[in-house]
Amino acid sequence: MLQNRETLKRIAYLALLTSCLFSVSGQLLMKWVAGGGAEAGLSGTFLLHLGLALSVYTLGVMSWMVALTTVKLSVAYPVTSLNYVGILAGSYAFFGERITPTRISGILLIFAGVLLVVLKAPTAAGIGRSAAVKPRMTGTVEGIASQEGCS
Amino acid sequence: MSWGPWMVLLAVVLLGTVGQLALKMALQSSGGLSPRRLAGSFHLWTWFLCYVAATILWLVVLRTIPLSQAFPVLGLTFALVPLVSNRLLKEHVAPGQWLGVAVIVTGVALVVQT
Repeated sequence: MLQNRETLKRIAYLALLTSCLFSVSGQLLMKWVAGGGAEAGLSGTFLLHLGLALSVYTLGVMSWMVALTTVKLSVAYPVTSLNYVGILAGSYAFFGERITPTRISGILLIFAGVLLVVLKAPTAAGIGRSAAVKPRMTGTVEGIASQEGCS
Repeated sequence: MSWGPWMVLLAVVLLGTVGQLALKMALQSSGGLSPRRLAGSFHLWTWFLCYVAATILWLVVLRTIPLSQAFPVLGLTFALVPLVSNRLLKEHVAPGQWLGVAVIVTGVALVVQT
């Protein structure tokens, strides 16, 4: 019995990492797809590439949801920091985007802010009511489309 | 950079927010989460349509705004959802969450600096 629970946990953590990998890849693919195509119109190639990008991203979202069935939000959400890291690294490496210190500071703040919102730090007054509020699901699309979470 | 792409990005954020709220309402109202009930759920369809629209507009955004800039701005949905939940769904928002909203907005203000 204990071994099963341990295995389940390991799978859930793996799902978390997989989610980040696929979400980041999906986003990078979407940028690549957005860059091409539009002048040529909705060509078959464009739609194929778009389908690929969306599929990869969707797998990321699904992985995230699988992970959430087992892993606590307080553990899962900090892992989404890898999404930001991945997107920053990928944007720079594959698309030559300029990463300014201001942008990095902003991202750090956004990440911290999202944690504060999602992981509701309990206060003396709010503990009773906080317990009653259900944890939020996310799809960060990213996050948008998204879902996000691991957007 | 012109205002256009940023307006579209804002639209993506709004669609994401509405979608998240619709999803929340869809999952809460169903007594049991049976596939049949969900398939007919207005809220669930709203969520789906919002995300389809958001995805299309997201591609438009990515043609102009760098991904490393556009992606973090999506974090704004995490600030908007509690705000709207508080007003529309009468949900309680803890002080720590309000702080989070402020921090997110500050971060976004920094990120959009070109």
